[in-house]
Amino acid sequence: MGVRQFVTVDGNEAAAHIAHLASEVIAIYPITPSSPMGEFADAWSSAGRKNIFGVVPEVIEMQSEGGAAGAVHGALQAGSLTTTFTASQGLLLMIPNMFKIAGELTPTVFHIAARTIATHGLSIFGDHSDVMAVRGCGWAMLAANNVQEVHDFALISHAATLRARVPFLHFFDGFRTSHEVNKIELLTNDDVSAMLDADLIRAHRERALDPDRPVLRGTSQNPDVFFQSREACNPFYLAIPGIVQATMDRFAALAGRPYRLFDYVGAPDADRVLVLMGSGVGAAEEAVAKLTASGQKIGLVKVRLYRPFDTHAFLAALPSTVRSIAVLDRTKEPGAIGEPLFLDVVAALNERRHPARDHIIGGRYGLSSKEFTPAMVKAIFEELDRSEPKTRFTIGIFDDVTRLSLPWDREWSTEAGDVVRAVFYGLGSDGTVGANKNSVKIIGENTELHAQGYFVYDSKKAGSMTVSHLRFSPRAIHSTYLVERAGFVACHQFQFLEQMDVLAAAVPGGTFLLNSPYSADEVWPYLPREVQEAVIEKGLKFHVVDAARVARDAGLGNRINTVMQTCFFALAGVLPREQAIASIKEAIQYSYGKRGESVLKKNFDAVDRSLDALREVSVPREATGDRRLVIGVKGDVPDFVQRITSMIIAGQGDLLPVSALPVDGTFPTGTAKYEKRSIAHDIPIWDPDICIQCALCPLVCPHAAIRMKVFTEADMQGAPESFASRAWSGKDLPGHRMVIQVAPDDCTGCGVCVDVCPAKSKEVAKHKAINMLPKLEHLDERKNFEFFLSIPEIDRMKVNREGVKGSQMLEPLFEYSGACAGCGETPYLKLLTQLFGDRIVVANATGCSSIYGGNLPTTPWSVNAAGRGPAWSNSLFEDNAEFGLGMRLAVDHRGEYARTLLRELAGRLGDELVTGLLDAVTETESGIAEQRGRIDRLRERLRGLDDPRARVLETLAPVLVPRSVWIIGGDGWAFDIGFGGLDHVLASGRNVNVLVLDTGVYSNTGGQASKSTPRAAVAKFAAGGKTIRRKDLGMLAVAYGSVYVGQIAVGANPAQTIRVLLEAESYPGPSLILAYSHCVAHGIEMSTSMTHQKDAIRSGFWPLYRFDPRLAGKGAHPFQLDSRKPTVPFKEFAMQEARFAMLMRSNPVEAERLFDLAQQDIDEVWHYYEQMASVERDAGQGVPREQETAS
Amino acid sequence: MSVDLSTTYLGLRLRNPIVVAACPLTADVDSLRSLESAGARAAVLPSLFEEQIEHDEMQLHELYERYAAFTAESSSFMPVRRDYNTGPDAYLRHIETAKAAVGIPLIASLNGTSK
Repeated sequence: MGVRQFVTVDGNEAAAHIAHLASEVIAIYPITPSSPMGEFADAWSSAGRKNIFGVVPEVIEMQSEGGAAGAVHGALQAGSLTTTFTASQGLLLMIPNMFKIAGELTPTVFHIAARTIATHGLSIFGDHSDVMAVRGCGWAMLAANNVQEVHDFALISHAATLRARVPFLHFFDGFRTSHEVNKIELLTNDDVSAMLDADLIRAHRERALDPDRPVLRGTSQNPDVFFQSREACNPFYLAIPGIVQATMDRFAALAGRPYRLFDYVGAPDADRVLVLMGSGVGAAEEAVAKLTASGQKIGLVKVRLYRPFDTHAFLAALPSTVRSIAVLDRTKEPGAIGEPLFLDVVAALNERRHPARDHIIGGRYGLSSKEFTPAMVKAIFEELDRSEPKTRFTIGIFDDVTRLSLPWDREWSTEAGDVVRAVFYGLGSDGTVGANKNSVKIIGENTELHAQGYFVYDSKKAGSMTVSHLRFSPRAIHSTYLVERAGFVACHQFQFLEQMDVLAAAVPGGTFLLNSPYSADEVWPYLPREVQEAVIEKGLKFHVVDAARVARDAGLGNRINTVMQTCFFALAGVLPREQAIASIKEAIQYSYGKRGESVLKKNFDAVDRSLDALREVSVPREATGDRRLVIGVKGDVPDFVQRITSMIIAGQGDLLPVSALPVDGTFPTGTAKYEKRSIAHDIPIWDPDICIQCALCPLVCPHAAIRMKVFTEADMQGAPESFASRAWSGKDLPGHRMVIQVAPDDCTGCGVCVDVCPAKSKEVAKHKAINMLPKLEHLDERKNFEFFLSIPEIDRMKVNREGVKGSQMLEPLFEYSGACAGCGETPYLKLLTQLFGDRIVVANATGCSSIYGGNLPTTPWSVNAAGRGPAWSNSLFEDNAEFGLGMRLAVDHRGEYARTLLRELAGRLGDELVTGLLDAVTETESGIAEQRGRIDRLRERLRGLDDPRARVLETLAPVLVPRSVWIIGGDGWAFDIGFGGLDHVLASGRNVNVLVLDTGVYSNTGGQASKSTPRAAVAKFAAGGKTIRRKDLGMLAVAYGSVYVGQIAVGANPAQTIRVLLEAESYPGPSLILAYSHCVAHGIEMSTSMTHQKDAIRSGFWPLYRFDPRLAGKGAHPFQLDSRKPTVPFKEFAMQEARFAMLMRSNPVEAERLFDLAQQDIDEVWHYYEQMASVERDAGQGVPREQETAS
Repeated sequence: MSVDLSTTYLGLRLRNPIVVAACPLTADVDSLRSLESAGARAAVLPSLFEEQIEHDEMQLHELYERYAAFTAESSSFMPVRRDYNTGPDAYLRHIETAKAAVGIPLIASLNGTSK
């Protein structure tokens, strides 16, 4: 307990460590980048870690941040020490309770990983817009600038709030600090106890709501007393700065790290000063140090206590020589005179008539983790030096619209010569990030050196790239920006060399380590010319290792992390070789020890083999060959894609000026096709002779990367020789041909299509109608696919879309998303677009589907040849059902208006046309086609009309083809945070279709439990197995009687899936579809995930059913069970999934108990549904009267 | 007249020579009890295979590693359990429960290679 250790942790862990020790109740909700804090708390409590009072804190996951704030408020009122962790949108949802908690003078600390608030778009990255949005709540706000400060200020906050009785918002920059791994001194439990005053804690407990001494709070007050009551807390706020400083002083005496409310660094006689808070302080302090060393009279004020803003302390921190000030805000407040911190400083200077009050400028920087470097700070000081500086500016971007941006010198650096800097390019899933975190740990915890690790991720979930930025230094590292001058660059995947400028960050004379399948003697010609030139020009020491082979030989499959890490240590020289090897093995023992002997042995083996496999390349004097780097988008592409999308794809988005970006966040669709990521090693190759044309492979493909087309002989004109096809066996289209075609550069290689293929060769074992084969041996598929795309789409009116084959003849308008390889959600979306894509509007909740659906640079949502396709938007998480309802109301109203105008103008448009438009049958493909024809004629006639109503009708006319509104999201949205809204929307009776892609966890944020998580499943916040059964959302909706409900699983029963989509869409009221979506979080083999769905149904784990209100009444049974009585025990199904099997391994007694309960759940639900199937139900009118007249 | 079927096997004194060979029947405690009451006088437990242990351990490793740190929003998908039992623990537990459940001698079985 007594001796402090140095540890390497990230900001989240540093905060959570203190919060857990200091709290009794913790109510949370996951949101990036704060989720790990809640996860740590949950993991520690599950493992029995106690707080300083000797009791294990109670951790609960709520349904939303609003719920978490409510639970926290309740826990505080009932006398617990309570805390929570959040960011961004989550913090906004806590606002009402924050006002109350402060109003009731209740001590607590909320730890915030400060993140951007969604405006024109969402961002998971860091800035201060969230904490600034809540600055009016009356909380104290303490800003930590680095990982050590996060740890220290967490404790200072927990201590100060008890004395102040005002709640504290303790914040630090999302990602830059929350996810930065750095070396810190860990405070002990005794330190925490020493800082938390027992008397103050007792006072807090004694203020609790308790029937032994009851009080009333939350009164409703009137104009006579509210104002005075509100002013009664003034003395508490006046006391806060003094309390915080006193607490900081006590902390300094205890831990040796002094802090002040505002800390000044720089020249004691500075005339120009910069004011900011957050991680930017790290970069700013480096710039100030270097500039003052060369004599510049500049300085920096680090803001720590932002609220209450203590004018006296702020002015006292300024040298008396200061004459001009630049204030930096990491937020934007459009319409305000200036951003918040700037305005605070202006007010402070003016109140005390400070000499600098007429020379103060305000700027914005770093929004959404935009880089903020020492060079930018230098530019700001230079601006301040001008006789007429820009009074408002931005830094870090190029603003060619309102010209606010300052230029900066990208070459200017404060990086020191004795700091080791390394950059590693890895593939998400090859273990690079984990290995680098371990390297930081090894060096930070075994040497006197300081170590820093920061990790940048791709936005894709398959084949994604990770870039690790590491620094090792004899001094504390607060370089809060990416490494651009690396003495060591490692490329862990050979193909990256062709896709990006891997050596851009390499400094002359540095080291380049490449994971190469080619030996040191062979590799040179395989390098792109640009890489060769960089190696030669920069004089790099070039080493290769065939990490893939070493890993395989050591029995580690694709896990090259241990190999690459060992080579890094051997080459970087940070530790002596033997010590490095020993430390790596110790780290492996620590990280993997619990997994078993074989894991350890194989990793140790890999370590030992790595050095033997490492070879230096003898660099030729000249570049040779003609392999080139291929960056960005090739070929003939639309203008927006060429100018903007392409830059982002090439990793050069930072270079885009303000004018390049859409002013309102509107982007074109159909852009994923330009990415051509080519991440698959093996792709499915079709053997037409064996194919039975079942069309299951295109149905299940998550990425629309294998497709079917049915076409005429004439369409074959110009086909490449390699293009395969077969006579179509269907009687519906005689004389036609068909093809199953792979998109080789879009396929992720998941293998699901091959797994579901039922057609097996009778001659060759394991040979199916499609087989996974090496892409590099089948590059012909590129021109085959190009030809495939040129074949016209089949006439939709000839297709019976009610079956699998028919549906798969139709063009998908959802393609090549960034979803995981084998994703269980995306096949439903693709199918949806095949059935209705050219007339749907989608309201998409935040979650995996909004990330793979809308994360820049591209979107998989696409358009057909006529330019029509799904219109899509992500609003928020909690409001998605309501968002979609709003769309429905608008579309309906536009339709109503259009019809009114038609009737008014009927005389001039022609009665026949108007009657045709008004009475159109639009349930069929032909009906829709005819209506579109009428709309074209309507437009022609309107053009000739000189009447303002005609102008309006021109815009509204397309809505006469009904739009289908789809409200899409995951179970986190539908079961938890969005449930209230969903319920209201289902109750509304309006014609909306809700599609819940049910993975049974919060997939996007890393697998936290939702109310859809099944009993016995292991998930975060249910680490011991979920003890409560899954909420039966379907039956809750069935209870309405007026909602169409369907529960589907495309891998188990594709025909029922299609039927449900069609029935739901045609139902003129609210429809709810629950779609079984397997996920990586289930711990299954993704390639067999679709066939595995059959076991889910056979065991009764996921019964298939439909409830159609149209069948109600007159003795009919609206509820129909579509799957059969379970034949497989739950346990047999469950043990195939790690989310269940894991519990059996760790706690077999509890597992048996929960498995029994899970089996009972299944039996009970089946029995219930069987009874439901024979229930006669007449819910009266299924649809609201208004809708009957509307159509 | 009773016949003395007793014998000695591997140094074990058995009341009759009926020994249940290693098979799934001896993996289950209830089934062992039934075998004992039916007259079996010894049982060999199913083999614990070296490959089985290695496979389980590597599968657990794969479970945690395959989707670790590949996106910014989720550094992992499974909560880390420190009490996951790979290795022979489950087998040892079975021996323990089986020994408590039946009176007949039990012979454990290992399958592996030595280097």
